[in-house]
Order: sequence, then structure tokens, then C-alpha cells
Amino acid sequence: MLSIRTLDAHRLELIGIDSTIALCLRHVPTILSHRDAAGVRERLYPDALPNDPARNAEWHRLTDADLRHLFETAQQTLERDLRSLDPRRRKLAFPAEHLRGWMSAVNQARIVLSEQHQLEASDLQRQDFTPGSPRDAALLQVQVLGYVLQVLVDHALEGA
Amino acid sequence: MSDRGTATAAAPRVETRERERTAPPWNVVVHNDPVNLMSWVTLVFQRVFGYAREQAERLMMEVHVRGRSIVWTGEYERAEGYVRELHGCQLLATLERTE
Repeated sequence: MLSIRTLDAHRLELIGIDSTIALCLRHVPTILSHRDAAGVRERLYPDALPNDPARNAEWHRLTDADLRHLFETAQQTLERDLRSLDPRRRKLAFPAEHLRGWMSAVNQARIVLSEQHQLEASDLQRQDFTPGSPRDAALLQVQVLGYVLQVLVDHALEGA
Repeated sequence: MSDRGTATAAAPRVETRERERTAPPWNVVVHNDPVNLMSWVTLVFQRVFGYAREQAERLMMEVHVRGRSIVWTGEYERAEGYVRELHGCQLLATLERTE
């Protein structure tokens, strides 16, 4: 079972990282390389003023670059920390200040996969996966990453 | 002379547009999506707006059940900043002018 604990004032430790979770976490950078895929970009960079095309265009002109930087920074944080992951030890310590970056990167990955495979709310309740189905493989990753995210968020909520 | 005349004529229109753009109040609306975890949305509301857990959960449930929730109302500049932060947390948020 995955859990997280505070090591000291500056570090957290994720415990119980089995091979499935390790694989899914290591796959996050590859998933996020599809941020600009059709449909995905619109979800990650949504319209703020959908009924006003002119203001909306201005919105995207002013905000998209910062948003991209934010997303990429979170991904880089996760990637850097995962370099220390030794699956045989099943645990990983990382700076507490990286928690927000982890949550962002994992959530981005869930959204990218969901948009790419057009996953619906009903899919996220499913337990029956079809072997060989790329869509179901994506759904399984979304579920596993959702489990990881839940553990991270619960820890953050305790301190919020 | 023509330059000066153009500037004089254009200024009120720009001013009116700017006033209209920034006149309060504006709503920050968060829309439901199937992927974001309920706990994640609660955490984001707490962090972005400084809401207490109970209020954040109430708004999150409104998003979940009704499909959308007005999570903040006020002046344009602050509303704009909040929507940027919400987009940074991958929430679907829009700006709506109150009627």
C-alpha cells in the first residue's frame, strides 16, 4: 500500500512504490510529451472567456507561455526526483517543497491520457479491462496515477 | 492635426472598453470534468482562495453535482488572477460577468 510520511522539516518519503506504480510514474514524462496533441492542448490551456473570441485570444496570448512554463517545471521536478528511485527499495525521499510539482505533473498526465483516449466519467468507474486495448491500458494508467495523486493530495490536505 | 484628431476621437472608445472590461463584479466559474479528483479540487480551492476545508468541499460538491460553481466574485483583475491559478492546477475555470 502506497503511503507518504514526513521525514523531517524539508523532506517527504513515498513508501510502498511497487513495480506498477514505479512504471507509471516513470512513464509520466513520455505522457506529457503529448501536451500539444490535438484535443489535449485545448484542455490544458482552456478558454477563460469562451463567449468572447477577441478577449479569449488576448487571454491566450498573455497566459499560455506562463502556463506552459509552470507545467514543464512541475514535470522536470518529478523527473529529477524519480532519478533516485530504486524499485527494489520501494521508497523514495524528495524535498517537501516538490510536492506541488509532483501533484501537478501526475494530474497533467491523467488529463493528457484522458483527452487522448476520450475517457468518460463512466470509464473511470470501470474495473473490466480488455487485454491489448490501448484505451484500457491508458485507463489503467489513469487509475494508478489517480491512486498516487490521492495519496499526495491527502498528505497536502492534512497540512492545508 | 489629423493625428491629434484621431487620438481625441479614439481615446473615449478605448476608455469605455477598458472600463467595461474591468468593471466589477466578475464571477470565477469552475466547471466539472471527469478526471480531476474531488480531493484535488478541494485542495486547489483551499490554496488558491484560502477557503476553509468545509467551504472548499461545499464548492467542490457543487461543481461535481451541478456541473459548475461560482467560486469567487469581484473585480476583474483579481478574478483574472484566480482563473490563471486554477488553469495552472488543471481546473476548467472561466470568467463571467455578473448580470
